[in-house]
Amino acid sequence: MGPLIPQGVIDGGWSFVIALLVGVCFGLILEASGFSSSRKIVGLFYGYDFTVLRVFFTATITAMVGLLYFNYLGWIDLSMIYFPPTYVLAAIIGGLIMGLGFIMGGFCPGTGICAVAIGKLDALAYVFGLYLGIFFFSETFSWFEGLYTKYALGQVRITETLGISTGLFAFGFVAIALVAFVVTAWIQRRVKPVVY
Amino acid sequence: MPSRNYIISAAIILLLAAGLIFLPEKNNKKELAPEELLQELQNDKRFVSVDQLAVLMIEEDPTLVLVDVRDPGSFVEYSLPGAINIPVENMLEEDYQQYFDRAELQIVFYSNSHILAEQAWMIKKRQEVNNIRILKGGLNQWTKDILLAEAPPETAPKEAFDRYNFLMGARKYFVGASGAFDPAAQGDIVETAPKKVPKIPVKVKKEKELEGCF
Amino acid sequence: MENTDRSKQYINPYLGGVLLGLLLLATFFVMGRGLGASGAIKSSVAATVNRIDPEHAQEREYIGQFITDDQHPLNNWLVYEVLGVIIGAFISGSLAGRLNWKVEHSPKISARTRILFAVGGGFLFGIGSQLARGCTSGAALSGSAALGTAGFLTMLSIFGGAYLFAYFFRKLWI
Repeated sequence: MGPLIPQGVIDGGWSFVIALLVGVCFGLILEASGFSSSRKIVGLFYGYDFTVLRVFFTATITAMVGLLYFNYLGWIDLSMIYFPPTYVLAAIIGGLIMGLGFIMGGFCPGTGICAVAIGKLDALAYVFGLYLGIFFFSETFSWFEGLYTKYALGQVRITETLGISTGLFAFGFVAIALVAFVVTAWIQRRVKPVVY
Repeated sequence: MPSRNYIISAAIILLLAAGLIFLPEKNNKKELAPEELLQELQNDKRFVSVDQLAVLMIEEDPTLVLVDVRDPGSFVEYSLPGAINIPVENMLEEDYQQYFDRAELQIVFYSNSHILAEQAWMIKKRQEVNNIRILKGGLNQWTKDILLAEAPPETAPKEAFDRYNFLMGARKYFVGASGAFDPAAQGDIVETAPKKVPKIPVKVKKEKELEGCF
Repeated sequence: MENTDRSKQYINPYLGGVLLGLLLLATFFVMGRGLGASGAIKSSVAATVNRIDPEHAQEREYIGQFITDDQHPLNNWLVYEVLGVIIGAFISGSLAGRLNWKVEHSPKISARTRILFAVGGGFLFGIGSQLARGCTSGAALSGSAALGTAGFLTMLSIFGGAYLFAYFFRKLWI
């Protein structure tokens, strides 16, 4: 049955309307969870506020477990779900650069846009920076090209890379997430609270 | 500190995840739907003619991979220069997967006629390997056109002569300078051992990746 | 006073996570792809460059691939999604009384410093997101929920990287 648009159940013309609706829900959830505040977000890295980890991990395990059940029940064809191809070096180096940008800017693109919507001027500066960064990448693409395509593994799933069954992986991941929730709650009680 | 509600929620998600371990692994391998396969079978794009193949071989196109899908016995007896042998029944073996993972190669399947090659093509098509073509008419057509080509009658149009000249050139190239086909000299064009596919630097295709957030 | 208290009221993070997970699942179910954010900014960069100097945009190997004759670069799923994010965040912010123009920064630094680092951070995040083919939402969240190896690699390196560098930037935040 699903995914509905790639399978032609819903006409592709609807995709922009759906995109807008999905975006509204996405924005509502991010803002209501507190992702429009950079000092709340970076609390994760200093131990005074683990909201990002909680929201992020809960969302990932909910969607992952749901997706696998949907796949089992035949409601969704997992092989038709798009995910980015794996380029080992680009993913790691790109991720590290993003990590540095994260700690400097205090936002990631989605949360930055949320914060702009409620009037945070630092977020506006951040989105301007993103814009410049992407422009810079485009202009200097030849510098990055080797890195961009090195160690290509194609559309691989983590279960293929690790060679374990999907169910076992999902269970392990959920278990790790739950342990992380407990540990971070414990840490947060011991770190001096930061008023922001 | 963790209240009962948190413990219950955690238990629910953990149980749901544990349930996944016991679900049978679903086969999510990519496969072509029967409707699409039928559509593919209705056009001729999957064929390569003897002439087209001869051009590719003479130009020594580095992306060309010739695959003889007949049994090893027939392969040793007679095959095309530079060909590798993957019998139809071994088509799905892991060892040969390397040839089919690379979209930049042009793979040509052939057998004596094109029936066996077509079967092999169907198997691969089901696995969504899209860069395979079939030699139209198979080795029979190859022999007939390249090795036994006859001069067209004097009244034939110029194109027929052009083609004849091309085929004679090809014959010289494949058989040797004499240009005559001598069944006894067949040995010259037999590839006895399966050859490795020449290493071609893999150029990653620039896909239009508009999806995902990047 | 009551107003400032209310503006600190966020929903329970686990509830937020479950809602976000269900939204992601619904998006997978309907669209066959996950959420995203930086792609929309990339599209707007492509649109801007194309507007100012179309020839230059075509010459650029990277941004040029996102510009086609038949479609405007902004006519893209992610752009609409991000417009929705702005609307949704605005609604949530106004309901909770969090709408106001301000620069949020640690008392130890000036607003100016905060703005400078925000631009720098955005700049780096922009480069990183293009290199890794996705940001926190597209690559890390959606990618790992769909079990893509790249998603997990990106997720680990974004958070790992941030922890790695956190010490050097602590003055900015605490």
